[in-house]
Amino acid sequence: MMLPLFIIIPLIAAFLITLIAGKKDVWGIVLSVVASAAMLILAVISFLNVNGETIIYEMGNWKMPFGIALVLDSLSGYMLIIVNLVALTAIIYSIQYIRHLGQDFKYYALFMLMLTGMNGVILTGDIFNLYVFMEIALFAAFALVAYGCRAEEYEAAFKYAVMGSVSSIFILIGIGVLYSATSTLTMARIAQTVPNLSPQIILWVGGLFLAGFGLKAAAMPFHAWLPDAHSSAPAPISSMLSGVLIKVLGIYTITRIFFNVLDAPAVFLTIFIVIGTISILISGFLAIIQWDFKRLLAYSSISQIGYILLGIGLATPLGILGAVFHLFNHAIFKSLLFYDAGSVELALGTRDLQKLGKLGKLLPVTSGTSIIASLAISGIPPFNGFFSKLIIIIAAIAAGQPVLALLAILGSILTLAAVMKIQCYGLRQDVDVEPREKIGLGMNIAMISLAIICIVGGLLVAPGIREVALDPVVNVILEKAEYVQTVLGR
Amino acid sequence: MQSHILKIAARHLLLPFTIMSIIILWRGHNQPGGGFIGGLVAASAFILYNVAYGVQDAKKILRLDPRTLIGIGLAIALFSALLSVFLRMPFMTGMWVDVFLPLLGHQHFGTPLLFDTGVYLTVLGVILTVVFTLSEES
Repeated sequence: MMLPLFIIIPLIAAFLITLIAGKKDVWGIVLSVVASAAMLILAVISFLNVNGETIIYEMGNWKMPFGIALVLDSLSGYMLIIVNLVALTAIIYSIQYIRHLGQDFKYYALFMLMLTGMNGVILTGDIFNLYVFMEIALFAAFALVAYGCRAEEYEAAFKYAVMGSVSSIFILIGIGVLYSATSTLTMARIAQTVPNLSPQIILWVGGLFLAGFGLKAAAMPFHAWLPDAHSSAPAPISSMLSGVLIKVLGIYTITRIFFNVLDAPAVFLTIFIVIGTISILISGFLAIIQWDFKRLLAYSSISQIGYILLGIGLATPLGILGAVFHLFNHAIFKSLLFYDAGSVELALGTRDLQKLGKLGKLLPVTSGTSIIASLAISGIPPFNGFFSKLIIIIAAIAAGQPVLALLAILGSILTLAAVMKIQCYGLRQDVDVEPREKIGLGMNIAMISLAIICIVGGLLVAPGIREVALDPVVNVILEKAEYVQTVLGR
Repeated sequence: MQSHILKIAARHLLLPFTIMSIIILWRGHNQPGGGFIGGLVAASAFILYNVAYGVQDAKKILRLDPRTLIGIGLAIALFSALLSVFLRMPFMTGMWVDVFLPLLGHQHFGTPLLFDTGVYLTVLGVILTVVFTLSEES
């Protein structure tokens, strides 16, 4: 009974907010905070309950190969925790941040719809259902990117909408081809039939999905929409988009479909490695030359997505472990950096790094947490980013690819250079600046809580915790036969 | 443009269109039709009225704000999906009752019809919101 709650709660919250919060925005805040806190608690409980097993929920009492089922295994539980954790902090952060944009209740309703879509994508066991939930999340995201109603935001949202629709078309055609070849839309059932399909079909379907989900994940040749969309959106939305949306719609779907359904065809794993490495290096360089705070962060997101793709492409247990751990870490520290950028923008009215100045005294929490996040993202011990990057680099060496390891280290240095640029020019320049607005308690709580997770997050790979937290997730990705059996075999 | 034929036609077609849309909604579950198409047909009646008489009159004849229709429709659809949860069955399970009605005989009612009604109202609301907004601006 727990599984549909992840879809029902935000959906009801979205409707209620639009119905009753029209006059008083307080209701929007209360409802969305309660809803996202409840879902975070539920996500943690269900992840601990799952414990390496798989829970199936048959929607509408239609039995499994025919109906649509919600599937909760360790991978989905892990993703749910990440999504709802970042969402809760983003809502708390939004309370003050979004006030100057007006008509708050629409913002919260759209936010809840986006959450509905993401939770649905994570939980569904039906490939067309996945597409529908993905569209719900995307359409809410288009509107949220344009929420500030300025020209650049409209332009970014339009670009995002066009690219998002193109990628959706690729995915839809892929689903169509797969359906005509296998006569089913249930993912586990498709996985069962895949060994009998001709390699050509797998190649076509994989290519379509790679283009579609690659566009959603914004890996390097598909990245053109991301810097605009992520830098123009309101800061909490940037953190949601960069922190979790591209991972849920891009990385999670890629791992689920390519590993659990299509059985990890070798040619695509090579492509993941190539795309990942290109993303790490080129967007590392592109990040350094940016002067816009949020644009720099957006480019660095592409480079971090590259690390995750590199780990996935290696397809060794160690590589996958590094990838899923980096996925969690990147969600945390990139969201934190976007919160920092947002509070700087709120306080000073600009995010041009050249116009910022001495912020240590002015915004102590912002500058403190931004140091933690910067060190974490560039992989400095003992922060969480260090461990995940280290694991990916070790995995590359262990897989006999020392060149990739070297490039990954180079990418890490580029990231360090980019975030040091933020620290030197942005926050510690010797210029005095006047603040326009004080940063309130809610925004500080959001930033501090993520900073604490950055510090203690490294513990997830510690022996004892790793067996509970990360190993079941890696198992789900690597054991395809188990996925089919647990979903269908009863 | 003032056309008497159009005006009279629009006024008299409003009722048949609405009745037709409800029939389409009614036969939807097992035959071609359903909430989505029914909503489109109902919306087309109001669009015709909008073309003939202008936005203000069309809004007046609808009485409700189309956005309220969207909210009501979504709430009905959600309620129909939640009904089974209250009776300890999986979410969205279809439930049916047989009812004897004086003129129509034995009828088979179920939550899918309720869900379709929600879709009908939502589609009507969405289309009319779009059409009214566009014709107000031009």
